[in-house]
Amino acid sequence: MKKRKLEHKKLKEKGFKAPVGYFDTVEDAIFAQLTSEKFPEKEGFSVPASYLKEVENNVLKKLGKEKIQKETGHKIPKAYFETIEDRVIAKLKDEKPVAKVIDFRSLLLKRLIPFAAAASLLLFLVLNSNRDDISLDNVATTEIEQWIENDLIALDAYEIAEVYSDVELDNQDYFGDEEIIDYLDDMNVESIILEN
Amino acid sequence: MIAETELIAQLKDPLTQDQAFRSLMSQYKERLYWHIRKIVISHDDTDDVLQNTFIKVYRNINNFKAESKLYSWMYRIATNESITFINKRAKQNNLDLNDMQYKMAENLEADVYFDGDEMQLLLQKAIAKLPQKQQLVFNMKYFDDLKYQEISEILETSVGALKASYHHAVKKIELFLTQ
Repeated sequence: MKKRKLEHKKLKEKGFKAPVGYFDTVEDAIFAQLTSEKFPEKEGFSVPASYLKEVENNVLKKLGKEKIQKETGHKIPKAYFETIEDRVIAKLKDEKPVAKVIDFRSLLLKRLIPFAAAASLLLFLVLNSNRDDISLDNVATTEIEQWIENDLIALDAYEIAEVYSDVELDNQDYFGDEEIIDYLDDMNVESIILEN
Repeated sequence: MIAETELIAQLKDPLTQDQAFRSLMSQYKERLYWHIRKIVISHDDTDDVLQNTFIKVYRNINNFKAESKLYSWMYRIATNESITFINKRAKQNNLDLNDMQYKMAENLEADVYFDGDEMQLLLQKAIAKLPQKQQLVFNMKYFDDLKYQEISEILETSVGALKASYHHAVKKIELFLTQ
């Protein structure tokens, strides 16, 4: 009789229930527990097992405060966070244009022509001292440019500097520190060091 | 809040970049702000560094390879920008980095954007005395409640080394506060 009762289909159902969604989360919970118990020792560092859990409370006890107050004390201006996006976008749109590359060659030639012309005229006069029709106007500008370009007129750095005596270096727009740092970041600095 | 992969895709697409960038800033501005603030201390300097951080994110988003989380990457940029900033400030003042940070912490008393009590001021000074790495770990662990794994991704340092850093930082702060 008992045996028949035990074999009854309904009795074979366990009657237990699991919480809704339990089996969707149980794996994560197990992995989280396993992970939190692991303390890698590859570097050889170790600390007392319970120290890290208690350290904050220990410090605060010494400070005379039991509650954890993680306020740094820093304040911010009102509505600061409401305007930051607009200011960043404006800054991006306002980015400085790339510095214009000055055509140094034409600038040099313009400045040096009178100087070179005088030097060449003097040479010409010395060599042709018996002629009356010599003048600066007879020496074409293009000829003087060619002399300079072909290194036929020797000009040293001091002579060039004299031509630019009105230029104040301090007033020049050089690249700012940030631009230089950005440039260096992009460069392969090691190769420059090796080259030198 | 859209999924990170989708946000990254939108940030890299010129058609959706600006809108996605606004959304990114809106999501992360506060967290990044407070992280930077703990390093550079003053609000005005933090504002500069925060803007520079976002600009750098915008300019370099196409180089982001998604090997780490987007937030970890941004946090790393913010950290580097902050450290560059205070290094530059230290050089301008002919001071050692720690001395510069201690000076900045001392100035908090007169800072209109600091309303901490004496103990909070002392804590800021104690933190300023720590080596740079320990400062970062302490701030991220103690104030930001980041997990070691998250800090590891940001600072690219092993979890074990971070735990030791935090341990040493706490010891030094204890010593400073109880002198």
